[in-house]
Amino acid sequence: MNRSRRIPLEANVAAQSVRPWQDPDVSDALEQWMASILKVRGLDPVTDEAVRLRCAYHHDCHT
Amino acid sequence: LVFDRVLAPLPEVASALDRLNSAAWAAVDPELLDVCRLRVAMLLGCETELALGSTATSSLTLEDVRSWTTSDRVSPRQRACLAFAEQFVIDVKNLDDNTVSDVTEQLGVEGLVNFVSALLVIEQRQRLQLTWNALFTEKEAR
Repeated sequence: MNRSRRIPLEANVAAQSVRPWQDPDVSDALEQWMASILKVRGLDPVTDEAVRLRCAYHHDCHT
Repeated sequence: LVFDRVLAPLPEVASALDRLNSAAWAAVDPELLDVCRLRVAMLLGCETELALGSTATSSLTLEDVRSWTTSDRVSPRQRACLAFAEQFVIDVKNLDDNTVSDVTEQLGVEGLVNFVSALLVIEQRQRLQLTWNALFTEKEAR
């Protein structure tokens, strides 16, 4: 498994955005989608967190 | 679509998902993304997406997409993105350098980033459709 960065982070770009290179419309839409999901209630916080961690483990997501 | 039914009580989520889907299709060559959408549908068994057929002006048939590794009708650009899409769906954490660099070579760095974002959107929409169809069909059958 390769965890090294494959997308160059240019200093000036990285300073301006958490998602350098990404189309701003896509970036905004992703943020809006995430924000809308976080407002949904109905799943208890412990189950919610357990699912999040399980997904992170499955995808080897260290962030 | 099942989205309308399931997300009816959650208009903000429905609207955000629609906007995200539109942004994804606008950020990437729609013909290229459509070919990947069909391949993802084949891998996941998403019949509703396959039933839509090719929605963009693709020169490829479903059979071309199904046999993309050997079909000479598949361009190097399509081939690179289809290889990436397959690995993304099957085992995303084991994407290898060559698969990534092949897409970068075809689309550039910005193109790669937007392609991955768009691929995430079309893949997640199909997984949602499959899950919700299964859940609600089972629930309604009881």
